[in-house]
Amino acid sequence: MVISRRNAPIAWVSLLVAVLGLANWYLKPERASAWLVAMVTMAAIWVVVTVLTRKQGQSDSDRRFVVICAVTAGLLLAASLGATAVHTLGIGDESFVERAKGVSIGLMLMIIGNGVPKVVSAFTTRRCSPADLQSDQRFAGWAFALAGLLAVLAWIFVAVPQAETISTVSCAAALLLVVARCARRLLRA
Amino acid sequence: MNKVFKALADPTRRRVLELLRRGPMSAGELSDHFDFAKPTMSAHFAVLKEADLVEAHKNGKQVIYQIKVSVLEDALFGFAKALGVGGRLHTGHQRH
Repeated sequence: MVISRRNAPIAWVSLLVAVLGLANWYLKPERASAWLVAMVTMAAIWVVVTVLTRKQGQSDSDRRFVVICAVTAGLLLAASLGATAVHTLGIGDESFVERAKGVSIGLMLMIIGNGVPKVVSAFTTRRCSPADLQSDQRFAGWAFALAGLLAVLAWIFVAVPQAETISTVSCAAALLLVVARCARRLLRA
Repeated sequence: MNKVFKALADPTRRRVLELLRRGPMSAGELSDHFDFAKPTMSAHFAVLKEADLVEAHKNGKQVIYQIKVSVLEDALFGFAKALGVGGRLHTGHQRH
């Protein structure tokens, strides 16, 4: 597979996931299937993104957004594998793994939310007015980025049960607000 | 990120971004809001493009600009505007 400069971050994250997957396999061979699924998933993401970003008619921002999403998903896998490996080595307690997973999910939401308003898609602008679309993208971006930030802060500073509640409620609220806004626009159209 | 800071430090470019928030506009429509010469406006558009804050599409002879700011850039834009970084745009320079 040819690694383009644009897709190079995915290659690095795939390598990181592979190394952490193999480390976990060595430390906990009884859960080999789980580590294998993680490594295969990342490899599949890499292949899909390579195929998607080769398609004609996409803007650079579209391609960049796809790459950012793939890298973020890979980092989420890497964080989860890394936290599990560290815990298996006897560093940190069970809540450490929970917190690491929670923080990485929050970060993923923040990164994706941050990038949403930056996507200027020629194919989507045709479905509604570009101004409305961009306004909705900005709203969705802010909603997801703030929900992610709240989740990250909760997983760092609040007790695990409360952090679970706060992050679930904030992510669900962001999703509901975005869906409600889009639904309202569709009903008005 | 330096390019973004440079782009947002100028009140004229911030005003251009504010206008683009309403929807895509042609270079001519944007220029109509300012009393600057066309080359000056073109230079401002170039800085915004360089910072990846706007996207330009050719539509016949027209160049259509569309805003393209991430959440972080939007927040920086808000701070720069609130703090009046680079001074505020004088209303005499701007047509409505």
